[in-house]
This record gives sequence, structure tokens and C-alpha cells, in this order.
Amino acid sequence: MEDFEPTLIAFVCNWCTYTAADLAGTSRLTYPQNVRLIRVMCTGMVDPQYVIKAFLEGVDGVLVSGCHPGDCHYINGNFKARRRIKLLKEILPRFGFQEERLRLTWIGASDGIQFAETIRAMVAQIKTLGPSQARLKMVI
Amino acid sequence: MAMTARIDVTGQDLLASLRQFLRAILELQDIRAILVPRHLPMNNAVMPALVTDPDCLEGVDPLAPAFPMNAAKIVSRLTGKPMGAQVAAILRPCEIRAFIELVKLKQGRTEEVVLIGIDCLGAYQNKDYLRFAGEDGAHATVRFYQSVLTGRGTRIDGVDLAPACRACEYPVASNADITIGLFGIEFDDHLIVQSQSVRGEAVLKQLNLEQTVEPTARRETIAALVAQRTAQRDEMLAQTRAGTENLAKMTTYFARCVNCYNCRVACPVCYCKECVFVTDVFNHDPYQYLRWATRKGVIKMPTDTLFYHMTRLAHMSTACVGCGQCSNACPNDIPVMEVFRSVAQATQKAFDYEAGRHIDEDPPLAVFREDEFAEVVGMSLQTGRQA
Amino acid sequence: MPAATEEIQGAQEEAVALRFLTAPVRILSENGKVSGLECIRTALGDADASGRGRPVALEGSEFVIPCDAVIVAVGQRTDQSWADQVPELQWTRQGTIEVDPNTLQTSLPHVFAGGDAVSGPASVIEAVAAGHKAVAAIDGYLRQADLGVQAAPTPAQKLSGENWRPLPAGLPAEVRASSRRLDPKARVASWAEVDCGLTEAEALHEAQRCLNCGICSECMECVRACEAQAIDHYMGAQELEVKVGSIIVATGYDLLDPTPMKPYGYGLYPNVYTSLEFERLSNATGPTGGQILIRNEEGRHTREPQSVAILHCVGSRDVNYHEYCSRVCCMYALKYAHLIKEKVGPETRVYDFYIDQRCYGKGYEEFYRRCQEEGTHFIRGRVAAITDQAATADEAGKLIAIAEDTLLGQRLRVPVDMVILCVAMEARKDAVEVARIFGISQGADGFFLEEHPKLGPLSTATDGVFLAGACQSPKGIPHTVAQASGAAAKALSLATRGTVAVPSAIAWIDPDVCAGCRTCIGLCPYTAVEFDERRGVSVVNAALCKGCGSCAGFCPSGAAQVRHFQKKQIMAEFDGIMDAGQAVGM
Repeated sequence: MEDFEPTLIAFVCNWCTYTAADLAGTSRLTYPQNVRLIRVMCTGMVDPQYVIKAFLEGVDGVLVSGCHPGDCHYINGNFKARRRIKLLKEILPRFGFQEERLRLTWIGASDGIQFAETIRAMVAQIKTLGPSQARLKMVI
Repeated sequence: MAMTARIDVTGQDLLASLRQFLRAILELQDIRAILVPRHLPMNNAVMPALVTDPDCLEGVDPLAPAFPMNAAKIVSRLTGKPMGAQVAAILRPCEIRAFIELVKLKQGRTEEVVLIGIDCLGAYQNKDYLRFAGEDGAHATVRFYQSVLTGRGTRIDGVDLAPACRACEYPVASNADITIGLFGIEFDDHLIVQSQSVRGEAVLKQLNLEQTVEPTARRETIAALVAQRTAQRDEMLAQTRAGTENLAKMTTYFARCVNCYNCRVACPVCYCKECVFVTDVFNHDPYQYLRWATRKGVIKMPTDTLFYHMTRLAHMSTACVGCGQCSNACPNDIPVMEVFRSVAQATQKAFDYEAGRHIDEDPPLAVFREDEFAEVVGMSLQTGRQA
Repeated sequence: MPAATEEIQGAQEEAVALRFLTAPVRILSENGKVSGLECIRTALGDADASGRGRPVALEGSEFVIPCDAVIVAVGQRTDQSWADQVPELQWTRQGTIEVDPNTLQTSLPHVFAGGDAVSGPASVIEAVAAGHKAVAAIDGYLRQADLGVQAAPTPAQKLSGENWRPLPAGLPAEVRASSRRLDPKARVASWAEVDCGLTEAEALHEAQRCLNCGICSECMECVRACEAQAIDHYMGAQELEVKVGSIIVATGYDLLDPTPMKPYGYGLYPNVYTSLEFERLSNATGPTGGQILIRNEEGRHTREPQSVAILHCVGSRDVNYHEYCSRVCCMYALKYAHLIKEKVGPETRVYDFYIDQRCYGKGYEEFYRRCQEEGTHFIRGRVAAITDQAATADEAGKLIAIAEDTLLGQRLRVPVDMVILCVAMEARKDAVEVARIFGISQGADGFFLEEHPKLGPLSTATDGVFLAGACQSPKGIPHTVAQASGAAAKALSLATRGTVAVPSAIAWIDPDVCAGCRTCIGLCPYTAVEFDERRGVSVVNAALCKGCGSCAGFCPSGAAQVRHFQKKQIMAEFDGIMDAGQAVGM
């Protein structure tokens, strides 16, 4: 499916990855426009429900990205997020949502380049996986 | 297991001996009431009952293959706040394990309850039990335990145990204060009671029972039963996984779901006062439905069916004890338990957690460590596990 | 004769004749003056009830001691003149009041007795002791305590020796000094004090015999001597509750203990010092009055060093100990070099072993240049070991620093008299505990973590708790003062405002939905969630919540949500994205 353009949702924390995305923009870095950002204050407030909802609505990939360990603006929200992503990575693949479609990364505020690269890599990878099953099938 | 004692069975009447034992406990100074399954006067229904009068123990039947609800919820109600008295609760192992999870979630306290775990012979699904029990529930119970304990099996009159019970690898209670042993015992001669805690031992000591040793046959009988159940469980989980491995199959699996949320109401570890799916978050405006329908061309009503089940998996699969009440409660006979157990097995293993194993183990999502699960972070294709 | 030995001895020296087993019969007189004392010899008879033989007069053994004066040493007995008024009081055969020996309670339960009336003639000290004993017993009696129990004499404590300072082995025994007495011949003829006491020299010598094994005898002389009145023997741990609006944590640092770093010989060689020890040595109030002196094997300060090695980065910038730079060592090492040159003399050789000279502050580089000009030898290279194993005659009796000069690429052996280790500053051992108390966190290096390295260097994750000084990171005095001033200003700005603005994007827990599982309380990094026992629900303290959503990310019922980031809002945002995506054909 060569003309497949995946839809990605990224939950990014206000202090690190959102700032990195901002930096990527002001630095005129280009990255695929398949991603839509939802800014949250901390990855620790990302309810696993949001990820499930996104996948059931036909999103092809979800990125949750926050501060590096020890840099969390709220001390340890990223560690709580990591457990929740671990949980989702046990649940989602059992129902056919490949594990690679859900990513958790640490991207610091100054890592504009890394943000762009992460999005590039993720889009490329999801293109090889093909569209999510929820795009093609009716979801109840 | 500090102490093992025997209770004589006279006239091959196991239930009478059990009632005798419960009467002795109820007559103790510091135990004010016993929570135990009891035949209701009407329609042979067996429900948990809180008994304070020893004379009302008639009709008590902890061996009936009826499991209308997981009594962990009842124990939670009785212990959530200080009661000012001690009660004893006769529970199945899955009920105790669910209660342990509820205690961790501050929905119950162990201070005022003596947990008495009885060897679980299993139970029929609600509809099957009513059919099996017929007019004489007490007699039906005798037929049932005679058949199970003599090795003639659980299938009687073409009715077999609920799927959850057939695949249950926890027929014997751990984490109880006292256990009542039936497996591997000369049950027409005696049954055994064992203390598993200091509190349990204190209660047994007051009863002045004749001490004995656990027969060697008991351990072997249990091991054989667990092995058989584990094999059935693995077969069930494999089938379920194959039957739900993608969205299309999941959609088929849950196609009959009407979003009644009975499974969540029946679930002993779904402890929320109000499920998020009935809160304002999901109280969508009418235009919203139209908007979704417009985006997709067609949406099934009511919406959010899989969203509900998958969210519930995220919320409680790590606490799932596999009691099967979700399936029991489903008005459309969706085998909910199978899906939940198949996911629970994976999520509990991922966090090296086992629901109900130990009261001091924190629920996986209630804690975290700085150095863990490095493999879930980053972009590498580390695990290689495909769906 | 129950007199003190020294009294008997003194009497004998003064030629007093002692006559035992002799009883006076009568005093003889002539012309109204004493002329003699008639006595009779006695022998000890059968033992009486007390086990003592009663003297029995020997018939016909009377004799006369001629004398001018008789001094009668009169015995004492209890005044019983009032005994009739208290007939219930029981007396002993010796005429003393009968008491329980443990409680001093008499036959009248509410009457206690002590002193000579009970013991017979005895000392004032014993009477005072009896008074104490009786008071304790009376107190117990009035409180209706069991006198039998409380009065049981405490068994003599066996000295365990545990609380003693260990005594140095091989101490020569020294005899106690005794005071000089007047010559007996002189003293019988004068009223001068017989016991001349110790001379000042003797007293000092006697005092030096003290091994100080008990460390402090609570003589309180130090309290009197301290002009600043800085000593209080009765000061103990006190728990105070102080109501404050903000807290500045300035708990400082610990110095790395270099003892485990065996190659440096700290603790093994008397002249290997830590930086702080050297600081003390060169201080005018220090043990040598500020003189820089090396120590002999016994640890006594002897002479000035001819050469000193200063080792930078001991435990700092070292992956085996602390990877960070302790920041202050370079500058104090330069100060030491300068001090040694100034105090001991410019000819003293000072070797400064460094990795990098970090002289980054105002005037610091200039000071470095000055030290170079003063002739301090700066050697770039870490010292591998300090040894006293001399390889050449020059090295005999010296400590040898073995190092590599990385600028010259040469191995060096530098013999010196004294070595100063610039040991690392490290987080205090109780930092974990302190961090827990204040709800602040520690960095990987153990120091307290500031809110933000650039934008919040004084604040912590907990509002109202600020940091100052080396508890946050190793730093010198000017930086500590600057940070502390800043922290004080921050605290004041909170205090003067009197109110705290709470951010709007904070969590709220719907009491109608909350099931009271309290998981959010454990997850909250700011201890901002409390449990309301009455309602059985968790409640967010708006003044502490920072809106991270740790609670909302968990709460399965959605009772806990962050304002502006509510579940409904995020899902609506998502729906908007999907609609917009569809509109552009995504």
C-alpha cells in the first residue's frame, strides 16, 4: 500500500517533548505531517483510555513522549507513564494492534532533531505495517 | 499451617458437620456473626447470608454448586469501615483472592474478619444451578459433593461446572485464616480444618478440636486436580486467544454486547463507585453521535462497546481473579471471563504480579520504580512479538 | 579503735601512748587539781549478741596514770526524752528508733526516721543520704506505691568498662601524691595547719595522672571557664513545633572519608591530612595556635614541614567515587599553598597535583598566578599512591608521592613531609531522610534537586521549600551566600505577599465518584492528595497540587481529573483532530 499515509497521535508533555517539537519547528526541521500532537502537562496524566480510544478510532500509531528519566518536571510522572504503556503493550497486541504502533519515548526540550527523527522513524515503520485494522473494519 | 484439626462426620452428613463447626465458631465469645452461603426459603436460591443466631444455621450450605455472586464484595461492605465486632466469612478461594485485592484498594479491612476458606468443589452457572437443584436444593448439594469427592466428576445430569471453575487452578484457599479441607480426606469419616494465620490458630484453639495431621493423599489429590485444571485453563486460553486475536474476531466476540455493564457490576474487583463509562465523560451530546456517524458512515449503537471492555481490561485485568462472575452476569451469554483471563494472565505476568497472592504486594499501577521496563521505551524493535 | 588510720598514725608520731583494754575508774586530785587517772585493766570476755567481747575488769589490776588534765571523749546517745509522748514508736535495744532498713519507715506507718537517731552516731553525709532515702520512701507512701518494691536496694552495678575510654597499653603506674605534713615535733608546739597540702607543681602533676577514662566527670568547671557561656551540660534533644510559611533547607554536605582509599595512606601516616584537618591545623585557634607543624609517630606536633604535597580531586571526578567536581578544592588548595609559603617560609616546597586548575571566579585566576609566582610547583597528574618506603637517601623519613606528570609524560617520586588530600564534598548521609521529610528529591549524585537547573535553582519540587548551599551541590562560600540570600528573598516574597496564587490547571477529585481507594495518594509526587475519613474520599489540596495528573492518569473512575485536561476535553480534542484529518483526506 504505497499511497498509505498513516495517522499518528502523539501525546507529548508540555515541558520536554512539546518544547522539542516547538524547537523542531522553529529550527525549520522537516518531519512527516502524519502526526497530530495532543499536549498534556505530563505523560503521567495520559490515561491508557486515550490510547485505546485512539486505536479504536482508527489511528495507525500512538506516540507518548515525555522527559528523560530524572528530568520530569513533575519528578516522576514519566515513570508512571512507563508502567501504563507497559500495560497497554500487553493488552493491545492480543487484539491485533501490533506493539510497534504504540511508542513511548523520552525526548528532552532541546532534542528538536530527535523529535523530528522519531516521527520520521515511526511513520516509516507504520507504513511498513500498513493501516490499522480499525480503519478497515467496523468497530463496535 | 500451624495447626490441623479434625471434625468428625457422622451419618455421612458432611453439611451437618460443617454446620456443627460453624455453630461452634458462632458460639465463641468474640465472633459475632458468620457470612456463609445459605439456601433462601424461596425458590432454592443460595445467597450469602450473615448469620448471628446459631439456630439459623439450618439451611447453610457452603458446598452447594451455586455461585450467584462473588462474596468478596459483601465482605468489603462488612469491613470497609470499623464494625466493632469480629465476623467470620466462609468463602471460596476466588472470593478470598478478590477480597485481598479489595483490601489493597482500601475497599475492605482484614482487622475484623476471620477468613475461612473452604476447598472449592466448583459451581454451576446460575441457570444451570437452578435446573440442577430442582425442588430440593439440600439434596442436590449432597449429590454434588458425593460425586465430586468420590471422583465421579462434576458433570451431573448433563450439567457441568461453569467454565471459570473448570479452568480454576486455585481450588484450595491461600491467605485464609482457616481452611476447611475436603480434598483427599475420608470425607464420610471426617474433614479437616487448618489454621493459616495467628488469628486462625487462636480461633481453632478455642474450639478444642481433636488435632490431627494432614493426610498425605490430600496434597496429591490437590496436585492432580490443579494439574488437570491448569491443562483445561491453557486449552481455554489458547482457544480464546485464537478467537480474539484481531479486531474482526473481537468484534464478533462482543457483537451481542448491549453495554449493560452487568459484567462490571458483577466483577468483585471492579471497585469504582461509578464506572467511568456511566459518568459525565461518556454522557455524549446527541450531535456527537451524528458527528461520529458522519465520519464513518455507520456506527453501532450503543457506541463504545469494545472501548468499554478494553478499558476495563486496562483497569482491572491485573486484579482479575478469574471467578467468572462476569460471564455469569452477561444477559447475552458472552464468554467475558475467557477474554479477561487471557489478558489478565499476560498483564499479571508482565508485572510479576498475581491477583490475591499476597496482601503486601502493591497493585502494579499503584507503584513504579525508576529502573524498570527499559524495553518499552524508545524506537527499537526490541521484543519482536507480533500480534 | 574505729579511728582513721592517718589519725592513729599522727597521734603516734606525736608520741601519744595508746592504752587498750583499759577502763577509767576515777580521777585523782591533789589541791583541787587533777593529779592522775586511776584505771583498771580489762580482758575481753565472752562474745555478746553482737559478736563483740565485752571487756571484763581484772580484779586488783588498778593502776594510776599521773596527769595534769583529763579530756573526756563523751559518747552520744539518742534523745529519748519525748518517747513517752509517742508510746507506739518502737525502739531498738541500743536506744535508736526501729525502722525498716530499706524504707526507714518506723513502727508508725506515717513516720519515717533517719540520721543518728536511727543509725547511732554517724557522719553528716550518712544522715543526708538517709534523708534522701526517707524522702523517696515517703513520696512512694503518699502515692500509695508498694514501698516494698520501690525500696528494694538496687543491686550494686558491676562496672562493665564499656563506657570507659580505652586505656593506652603499657602505661607506667604512678603513685598518688601525698601532701607534706608538719614535723611532729614542731606541730605539737604550734597551732599551724598539720596538712600542708600539695604545692602547685605537685597538684598539676597529680592532675596529669588522670587518664580521663570517664571523659567527663561533670565537674562543670568548663561551664565556668567559658566566657561565651557556650556550654550547657543539661542540653538534651528537644522536639519543637514551629509554624512557618516556608522552609530553606541548608543542611550542608559531608566530607568524603578517604580512609578506604588505601593508596593515600590516610589514617596510616600521621602527616596525611584531609583538607578540613589542615584548615584546622593552620587556624589560629587550632591545636598548634596556627603553626603548621608535622606530627611524629605519637601524633605530637614537632616541627615545620620542608615540603608539602597537595592532592586535588580525591574522590571527585573519579568514577569509583563521585563523578562530579567538588568545585571548591582548586581554590582552597591554592590558598593552602599560599598559607604554607607565608607561614612556614617561602623556601618551603609545595607540590600541587591537579587534573585541571578550575579558577573560574572573580579574582581566582589572578590568585592562581600569584601562587605560581610564589614558587608553588604545579604538577598536572593524579597521585597514584603515598608511601613511606624510601628508595633513595633523599626519601628517607619522608612520605613519597608517586605520580605521573602528564604534561612531561614523566613518572615522579616526590618526597614530602606532609600530604593534604582535597577530599570530595558529598551529600550528607541523612539526605534521603531529609528529602523524604521535605518532599524534595535528590539527583543522581545524592544532592538535593532544584526545581529547574536554570530557571528554578533555589526552589524545589515542593512549593515553599527552598535550597541554599552545599546541600544542593558542592559550592564555595560566595555562591552559598548568594544562593542563601536568594532563597531568603524567595521566602520573604511569599511571606510579604501573604497569599499564594494557585495555578488553575490542577487536579480535582469528584467526591461523588471517588471510591476512596487512595491509590492517587501514593502516586502524587507532591503529597497534595489527602484522605477525608468522614466522607471516605480523597481530596486534592489545591495549594500543593501542581497539576501533573499522576492521579488522573490512574483513576479508573475518572473521579480525579486535571482541570483544562479533563478526559472529556482530551477526547474532544482527539475527535477534533480526527474530524479535521478526515476533512483533509487523512
